[in-house]
Amino acid sequence: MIYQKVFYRLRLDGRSCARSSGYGNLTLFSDVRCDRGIMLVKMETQVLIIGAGITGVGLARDLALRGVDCIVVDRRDISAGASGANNGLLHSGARYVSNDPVSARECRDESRLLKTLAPNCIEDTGGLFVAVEGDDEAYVADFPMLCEQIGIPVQMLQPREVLDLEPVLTDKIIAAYRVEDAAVNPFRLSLETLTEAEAHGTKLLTHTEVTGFQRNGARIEIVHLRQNRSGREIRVTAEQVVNATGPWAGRVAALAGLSVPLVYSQGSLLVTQTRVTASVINRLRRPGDGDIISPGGTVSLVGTTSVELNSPDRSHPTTAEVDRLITEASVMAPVLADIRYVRAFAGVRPLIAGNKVNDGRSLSRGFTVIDHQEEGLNNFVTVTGGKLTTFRLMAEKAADLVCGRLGVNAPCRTRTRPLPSSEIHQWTEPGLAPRIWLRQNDPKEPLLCECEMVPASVVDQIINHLSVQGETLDLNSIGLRSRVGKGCCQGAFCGFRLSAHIYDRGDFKSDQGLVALQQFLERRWHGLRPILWGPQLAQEELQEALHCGMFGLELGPLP
Amino acid sequence: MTDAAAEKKADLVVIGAGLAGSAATAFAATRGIKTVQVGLTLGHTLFASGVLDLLGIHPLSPRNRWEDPWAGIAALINDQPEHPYAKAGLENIRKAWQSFLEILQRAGLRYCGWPGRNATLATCAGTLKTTYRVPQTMWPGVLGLNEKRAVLIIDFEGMKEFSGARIVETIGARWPGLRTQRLKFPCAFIGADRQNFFMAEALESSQVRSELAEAIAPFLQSAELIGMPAILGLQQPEEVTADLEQKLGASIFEIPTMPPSVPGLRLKEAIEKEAMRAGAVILHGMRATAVKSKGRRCVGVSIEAGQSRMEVEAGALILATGRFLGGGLAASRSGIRETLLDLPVHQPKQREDWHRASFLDPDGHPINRAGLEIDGSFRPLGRNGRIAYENLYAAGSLLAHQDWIRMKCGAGLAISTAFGAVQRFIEQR
Repeated sequence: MIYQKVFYRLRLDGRSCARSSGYGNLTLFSDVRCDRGIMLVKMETQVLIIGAGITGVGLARDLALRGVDCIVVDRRDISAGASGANNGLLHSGARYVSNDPVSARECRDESRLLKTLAPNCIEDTGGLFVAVEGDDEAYVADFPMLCEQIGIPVQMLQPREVLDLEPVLTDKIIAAYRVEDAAVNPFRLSLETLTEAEAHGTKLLTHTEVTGFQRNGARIEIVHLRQNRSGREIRVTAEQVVNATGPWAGRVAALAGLSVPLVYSQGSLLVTQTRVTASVINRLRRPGDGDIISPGGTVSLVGTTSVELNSPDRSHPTTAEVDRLITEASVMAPVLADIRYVRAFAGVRPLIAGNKVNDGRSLSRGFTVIDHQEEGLNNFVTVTGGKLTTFRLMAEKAADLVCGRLGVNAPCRTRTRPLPSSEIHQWTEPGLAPRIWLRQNDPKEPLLCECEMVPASVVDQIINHLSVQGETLDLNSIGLRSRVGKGCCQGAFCGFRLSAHIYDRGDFKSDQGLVALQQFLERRWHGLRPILWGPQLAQEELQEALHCGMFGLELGPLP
Repeated sequence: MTDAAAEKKADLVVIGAGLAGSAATAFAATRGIKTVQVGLTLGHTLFASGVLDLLGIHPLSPRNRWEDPWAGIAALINDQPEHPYAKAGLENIRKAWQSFLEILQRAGLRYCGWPGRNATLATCAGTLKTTYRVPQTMWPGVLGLNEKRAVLIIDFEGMKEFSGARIVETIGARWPGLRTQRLKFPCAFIGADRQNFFMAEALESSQVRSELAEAIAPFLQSAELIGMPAILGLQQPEEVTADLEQKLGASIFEIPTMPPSVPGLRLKEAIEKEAMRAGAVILHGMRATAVKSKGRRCVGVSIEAGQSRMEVEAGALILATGRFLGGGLAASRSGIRETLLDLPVHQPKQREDWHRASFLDPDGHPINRAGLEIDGSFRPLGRNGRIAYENLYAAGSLLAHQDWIRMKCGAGLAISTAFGAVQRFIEQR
């Protein structure tokens, strides 16, 4: 059960007067200063999960299926961090056989499970490992044996067979193996996972930030939250608190007086305008920059880099990373040297600073569940590190710990239970909206996003879903749940139409839609800036001429 | 001389079909110069709203808006001697502007504005735009905003970028007399989308106008003015508007739309009409592929369209090929080059410096100031810092040291540099 009680606090002539509805301890709020009329909300739950990335929502689903009440909060939105900024690769484990056998085994088992349990989120493309002239032949020679030791199936291919399968690859291939890699749609995986958690009672609060923990001895008694858009303060009483904030785990733990030493490793990727390969292509060498080309529906993703950052907030792809990715990846697929890129993006890997060495690539991609018992807290858990492929296992391990503390004996169900698929989340799938639109052949249905062919009815479905969930309506929230803004125009036209459409519905008031458009354009910009040359630069010039030259969106509020 | 021969020899060849190229062609032809214009595209004028900016903002940071654009230009010339406006000089900018408006007037396209003062109009984004001259069809909207008159804004199903509700919500606080009504456009097209040009063409039929007036009438109520997307006729906007006004008994004004822009098309056609009347030859859809030179002079241009190729002998050239969208500049990962003659391009040192971290950064992006360096006679400089050719001129957004998008000086820049280039060509001929 979640209890909600509302406290009103009004400040009159400098004297504060509090009125409560008779619940809770008023002294809790004695140090709270808030503006006139702002509501204070109090909530209770069994488990408060901080972070709505794939780890947080995966944990919520696991717990919810064991009958545990959860609230999930996120400073931004679901998939806002690394969960929405990765190469969408379901690893067979082959990539880690030489330097991280634990991760390799976990990937092997989890990728097989997910292919069975969440087929709607996965395109089972298969994968290739290819070595080209000049690559380390000792590594190439060891690879099949290492895979075999860990139980990861590989099949040797002749270079000629590889070119039949993937004609864009170089003819300088010296060795190739087929593996069980696949492509996963990370947005849909998160959304479907969350939806099942919500169906079992989980509550999600987005744009809600943790501002402090109120500690009493060995327990966190109350978690202080602030809703960033309304400024509303929330106090959550939770039996257990889980910190699932990925690269921000150290910062959240510090609010509770704890230390979680992390290394922030930025990985940047490029998005091509069209898909170049049918399957996942890995470079058969020690993991390095620009050695994976993975399919993302109608596009390909070229990744990744590994750049150590001082802060998880400062992640953005740089022109140097972009150049390095193109140089390296075009060794495998020469077409990548000249293809049109529509976007770059960066995610931050939260690597556990255990045996820290200077290279982010040599830290384990494994995950860690920290119980913080030794530091004197018995209801706070941090789960971080890990990979998209192993998110379910991370959630299971963290849920086992939390359930042990709660005295809940129900077993984990995510290992056997298929992930249900809901219609509303299918719009994250590239190429689906156009197929449905063409099939329906309804001439009255206008397309709001012409690059990705997203019709108004899909946007309406998403807006209605957001409003039922009590989510904030802005263009980024719609972009996260559909393909809007992900095509060539990168928001220049579709953002403009989307804002018009929401005004027409009466859902934007005053200048809300202008502000939302500005925020949407800025969000797209981070990914555009490092790939602006050739036709994409001409596209940008048109966008700037329209949005700034003609409409003056850079001038801020109306003069 | 036959038409075919007329196309093959010219005193002046203008390369580019945007506002700068078209203005240069008209300026030269009306001064009796045998001019050929070559342009690959319909000209990116079509992307413009049809309003004519002269100068809105200088400096960008700290931002200073100018009510009097001429005073702003004087300050800009003083502060930035590299800016193309400084190369043109205040007096020539005035002359250029005057000549340009006269050319439009002769073509029957009237522009309105306050003497020596920028005007403000509502855009379809729900923002207020400052500009110097607007088509007569938009002028009642400027006055209506100024006087806070009661306005009914009409928008249409299927015009996805034009939302009357957006305009009312965003500008309503400043202009309380705004209302909006969505109508079905009284003419059937295939598909759900309503394209600007088709609608504008349809409104040239008096029957369609009557049906539209009937549809609007019930919603007019106390409105003194009616605002509509800028689609009131392709060719004769003033007649289309007058007819609708007479049927409805209220003034009507156009609101700029997203591209393709009907007022942009009218503007381009008006300039071309006058240029051709003065004898200019305009070769639409032709791409200039190479320039022939002899020593330090250009002597001809190779042009092509599809499979057909031809050579035009040229006494002089004006390069008005625009930037990245227009094709005058091209960028690769390693740098920016000029596409036709490989002239040196003033540009930031490295790609990392091209754009700022925020798209809407008030300072504007450094790449916007990249472009061709010119001497005081609008002649591009070569690699040694001296003019590249004695008879090669450049005009428009291709020029370096300007940010027309952020300074709101696009039309003024195109027109005054076109005028300056033609003027220098005549003097130096």
